[in-house]
Amino acid sequence: MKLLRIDPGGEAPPYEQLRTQIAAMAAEGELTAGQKLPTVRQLAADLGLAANTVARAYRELEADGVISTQGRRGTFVRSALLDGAASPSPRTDAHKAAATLAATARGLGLSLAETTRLVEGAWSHTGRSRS
Amino acid sequence: MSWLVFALVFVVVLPVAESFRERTPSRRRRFLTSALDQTQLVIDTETWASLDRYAARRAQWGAGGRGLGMAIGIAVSLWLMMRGATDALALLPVATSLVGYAIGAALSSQHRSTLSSAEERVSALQPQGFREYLRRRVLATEVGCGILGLLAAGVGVLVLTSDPLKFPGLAPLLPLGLMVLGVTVAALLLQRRLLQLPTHAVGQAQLVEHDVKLALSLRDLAWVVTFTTVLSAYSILTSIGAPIVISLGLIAAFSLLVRRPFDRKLRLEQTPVASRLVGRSRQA
Repeated sequence: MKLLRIDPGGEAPPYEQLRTQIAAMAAEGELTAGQKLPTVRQLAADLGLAANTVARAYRELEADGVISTQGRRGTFVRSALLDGAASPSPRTDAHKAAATLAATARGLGLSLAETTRLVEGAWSHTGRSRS
Repeated sequence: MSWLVFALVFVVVLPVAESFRERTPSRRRRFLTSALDQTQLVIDTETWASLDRYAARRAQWGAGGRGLGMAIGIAVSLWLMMRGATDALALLPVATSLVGYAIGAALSSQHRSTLSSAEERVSALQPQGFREYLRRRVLATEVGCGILGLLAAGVGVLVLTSDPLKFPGLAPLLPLGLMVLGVTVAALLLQRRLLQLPTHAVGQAQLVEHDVKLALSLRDLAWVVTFTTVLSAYSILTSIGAPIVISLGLIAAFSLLVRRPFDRKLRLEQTPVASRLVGRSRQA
């Protein structure tokens, strides 16, 4: 697992280091959707930063849709699927489409490998027609 | 009188000396191996060295706490017995020495290395709350013990203010109830304080060390609350002349019901940072 590293002498300001690393960890799956993050005060104390610095990074991450703050419950890595229950998102649609495809493929007696090849073909076809 | 003083000093010094033996390298290794073997974590040399330093510090502080606890326990029980209290308080020094040990050991984990503000810092992004390090059952037991202590102290006050001679066996309810309540409140406050401590780490070794010492200290404090409550309940049962079957049943229930959550060995879920950062020797 990757560690969050803050270099006080680094070129980027600490809040930016914090923001980019948390966003990258969420994108790479190091931080899983729904995972609870430490409080602003705790993270600031751990990293020797001012609370405002961490709060700013959290605010920007929230604005980018990477994390969500749920009042007293804390701050969590955002889950597109869970969020979708309240407000439908493109990712939820993709999840539904994948479920439909899986059910159809099973109904037709296709294997997972055959279905994956079909998806890969459709994926590259869509890419060509877009470009 | 001098032989009594000598005997008391001997009684206090003996467990302290025993605790100091925990500082020897072989004892430290045994303590850490025993505490961590259920987690199956593969600890590297640097992390082990950090944990070893912590084990030495913990033994020292634990020994001091045990001696102080034992001395206070003996003094208080003698003072109460000279004022006519029953011998139900005879086990008080046992409880206070264990409370002293747990508090001393927990305080030892407050020590942290001083880092310059220019050094790179790391974090595992692990929230540090009660729920992350203590099971719900353990927390509920702690709170339950505090409520029992409060109830016992309340009944003790009622007995004292009505007619103490009518219920002579219930006289120890007030001091024992206050002790349980005091130990519970102290343990919860200290646990909260430990959870609020910043990690201040420059590498994985310090993160794992912080995680393990936090888990051990929280567990010790939770355990000592339960142990004090059971010991107090046993003393009260003895004081009111309850059948020995009930007293033994209490000890048996304590051993069976709270054995697993209050196990001396840490479990993987009790060290959330170490379990994410460090590999395991085999799959559970």
